[in-house]
Parts: sequence; C-alpha cells; structure tokens
Amino acid sequence: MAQEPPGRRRVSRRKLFGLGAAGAAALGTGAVAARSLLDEQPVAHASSTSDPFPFYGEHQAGIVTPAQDRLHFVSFDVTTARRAELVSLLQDWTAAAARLTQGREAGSYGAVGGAPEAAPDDTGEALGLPASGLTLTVGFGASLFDERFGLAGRRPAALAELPRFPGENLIPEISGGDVCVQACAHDPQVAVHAIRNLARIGFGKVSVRWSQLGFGRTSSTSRAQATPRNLMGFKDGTNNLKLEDTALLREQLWAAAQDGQAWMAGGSYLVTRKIRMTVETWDRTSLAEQEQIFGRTKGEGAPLHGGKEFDPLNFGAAGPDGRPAIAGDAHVRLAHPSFHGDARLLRRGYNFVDGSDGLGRLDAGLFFIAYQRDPRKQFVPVQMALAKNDPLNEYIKHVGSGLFACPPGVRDAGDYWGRTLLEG
Amino acid sequence: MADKLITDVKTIVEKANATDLTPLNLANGAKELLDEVATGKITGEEDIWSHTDLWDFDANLQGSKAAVQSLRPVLEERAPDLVKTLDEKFAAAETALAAHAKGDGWKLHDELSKAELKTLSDAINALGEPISRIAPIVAK
Repeated sequence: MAQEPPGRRRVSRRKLFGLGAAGAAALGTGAVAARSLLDEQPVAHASSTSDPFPFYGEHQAGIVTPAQDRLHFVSFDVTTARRAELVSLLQDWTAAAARLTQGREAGSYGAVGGAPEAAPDDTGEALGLPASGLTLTVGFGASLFDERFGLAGRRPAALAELPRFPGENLIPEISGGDVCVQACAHDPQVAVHAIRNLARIGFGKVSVRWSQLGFGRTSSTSRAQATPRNLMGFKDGTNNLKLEDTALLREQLWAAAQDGQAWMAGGSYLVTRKIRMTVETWDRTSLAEQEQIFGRTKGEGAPLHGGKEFDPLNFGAAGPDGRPAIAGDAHVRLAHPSFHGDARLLRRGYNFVDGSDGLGRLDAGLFFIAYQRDPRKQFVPVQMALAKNDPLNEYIKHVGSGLFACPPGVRDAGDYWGRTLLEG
Repeated sequence: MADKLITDVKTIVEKANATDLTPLNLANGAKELLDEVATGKITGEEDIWSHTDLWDFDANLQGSKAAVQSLRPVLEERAPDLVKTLDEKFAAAETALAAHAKGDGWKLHDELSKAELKTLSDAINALGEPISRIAPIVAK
C-alpha cells in the first residue's frame, strides 16, 4: 500500500477549508497546516448528513448503513491479466476508500498539495465538502471467477447467473462486469468524486464498463428513516429488511462460512436491475388503478384493506365489493415474503433520470439494488413472480442487470477489499 | 505555391531543430500527444471526413515514445519501476493498434467497432496515467 509522507496524513477536506482566512495560506503550506489536524477520529455513526461513517468493520459499509440520498454506481471490466496487479489495485482502492469515506482526499498529496509539475493525486471537486456520509462498497461479478486469476474454484454457488426473466430486455453494455463499486453519499458531488478517483487509480488494470447515477433513495434501511417514494409516486420498501432486524439480517442478509465459500463469511450478494419506467403512461392512469396495481394507498402507503403504512398486509380481507381488498396480482402480494418461503431482501435502490429519450419522454426509472444471503432463494423467485404476473410490467422494463458477491468488511489498515478471496 | 510550401517546411524544420527542449517540455509533450489521441482520434472527430485517425494515432504514439525515450537515462536512475511500466504500456498500446493494420497503413476509423475503439481507448488511458507521472520526476 502507498506510504503516506509524514505530516500530510488525515487532512479533512472540510477542516482544511474550515480554517477560513488561513485557508489560502494552508493551500501553499499543506504540510504545516495539516500537522495540527492529525489523527482526527471519525464518529462512530453519522449523526448529521455531513458526518462520516466508519470504513473498517466486520461488514462493508453501504449495506445496512441508513440509505444515503445519492448514488454513483460503477461496474468495471478487469483488463489486466495478472493476479498480482488485481491484488495491488484492490489494495490501492482500499487505501483510497479509507481516506475518501472519512472526508479526506484520494491521494496523500491531494488536489493542491503536490509538486506543481505533477498531476494532482486527487481530482479536487470535493475540496471544501464534508464526508457527506460517503460509503464505498465493492463486489465481485461472476465473470471474475474464470481462468484469468485462478478463481474458478472459489466461485460461490449463490453467484449463479440469474435466469432469464419474462419481459426483460437487457442491454449487455449496461449489464454485468467483473468488479463493482457502489458509492452512496448525501452529496452527489462527493459520490461522483469517489468513483472518478477510483476509476483513475484503476487505469491500466480495470476499465469502466458502465456507471449509473441515482438522485434520490427509494428505500429506507433503518426504522429511523421515513419511507421515500419511487418515481411512480408510491412509498417503496415499507417492508424492507432494516438495520435493526439483527436476527433477520443474520439469517437473510449475511453470508456465512457454512454456505460453501468461507471467504464470503460476513459478505452479502448484490443484485442490481436498471428498471426503465414509462412514467408518461403511468401518470395518465387513474389513482384507483395505480393503487390496485400496488396494493397500497398512494398517500399513506397503507394496505388497501385499511390501517397504517406499517400494519401487516391481510390478503384475506375483502373490499366493499366482496372481492379481496388487495388483488391477487397486486405488486405487494406477488412480492410478499409469505409466498416465497419468507424470503426477504435488503433493498436500497435509487431513482434515476438520465435526461430524455429523444421521443419526448424522460429516460427515467428505478436503479434497483438489493442485498441478500442467496439470490437463488431470494431475488430470483420474487422477481420471477413479478415478471410473470405484475400488472406494473405494462409500465416498466428491466434494461440492465448485475450480480455481485460483496466480500466481508475491511478489518483494519492492514486489510484490503477481497483479501479473504485472494489470499484465503 | 509549391515553392512557397517547400520554403515554409524548411523554415519549420530549421526552427524545430534550433529549439532546445527541456526535460519538462519533453515529459509534457509526451503526455499531450497521448491526450490528443484520447480526445480527438479515438472519437474520430479530428478526421471526421477522411477517417484517417489511426495514421495520426500511430504518429502521436511514436512521437510520445520518442520523447519518453530521450528521458530514459534520468528515469532509469530515478524511477526504474516507472520505466518498466512505461515499456509495458507502450508495447500494449502498439499491440492494440497493430490489430488494425491494413496494407501499408491502417483501417479507417469508421471500420472499427465500438468495442475495438474501447480497447484502444483503454490502452491509451493505461499509458497516459504513468506518462503523467514523468514530469515531476524529471523536473526535480
């Protein structure tokens, strides 16, 4: 891992600029200004949208972390054929991620602290911005487990290719990839800065395959958060797995050694789906039909049989006309754990609008993200039921797909992303 | 007209030969030649009518290599690992380009698929980052 020159360590972008009038002087004499800011300790949990989350831990941050507001997700193809280069890249990335998530710069010199003849080792657009709750989460795609790096024998069974789902229209250029990084933050500039710097560190070893911006979270992963809305205007993820569900997380979210590949113990499997929505036709649909399709009220998010948002769904309850209040093919019913052997997902998707599509429509939708212990038992059966019967399919199309094994957390500064896979 | 052209070319050559390039000029020149490839030639924008971008690609790559070569003694002394990386990435970029040789020249830009252009782009980015590290080393 890169050695950091003494006196330049742990300069918080915010602190550097928080010096106010002295800030300009600090630019020219980074080392001097930095000395008094050494060893700034991150808080245990972000208490405001500016604070950092801890980078080191048993699990990677960015999974049960209360979902931040913005996303930049990137998928890379590995272009080097050398395992040693892949390892050194993951080490360099881990070192940069440990800094970036704490509000520091990507490299030890930073955007303005290096030699004037040198290209800066941080790109600079996050100067003056706080950590903004940035988390960086890495995952390995099935394509990494081929003959190139001798990893074929370490491919987890749970990382089986997803089946083809009815109605999907996947675009290969925005699907798959060898390695992914999910950047979530409360400030989009901070998320983009992190991905941009990791991509730069990776030149010659990895090449960006696709990336996706998300401007607003569509799930809450903590009971302290209100349920946000997707672009159809409905609350999304009411029934999500949440940070506080410790026993359920152990059972349904975190992979364990006995699942088959010990290197994944403490990790989780990530499914991404880029779901394009034809919002224009949805917006012309009556409120009653929209609510029938979802099985919940649009305002409160309550079950159609009455009650409040978090009340249990009762599929036997009849409506005024004697038929089930929640239709047999309602979205909430098709996806409900009670019909899938109690399969749960931890969703943390994001709304996206990639401009417009040239036909006068928004290129908009949901970038679906779900973590789980085994996609074969969780995402796949739920999505198969939805793909076959969900009336929502009239308004949505799955156009991108990703499946990644996210390794356990980085324990300390001597550890790195994927060490258990590459050295275990 | 033709005579004037020949006179002008001679003047350019004389001026070029008389110019003293500093190591920093050479290092930045090596980087800028590759930047031109990355921004104008991979995209086909520069030769939008003739599609002869790969001829320029080749010329810029060789020019960049010659500039780096002239700095080799100082780089070998101060940053031997970087020399190794540069040799490897120059060779990789030449190999990537060689895949598109045709006759005594190159394929036209519009004969390349998007995937082939991405491979070339990756090779140039892989070379551009280590090249950008030369300047501060030779400036010391």
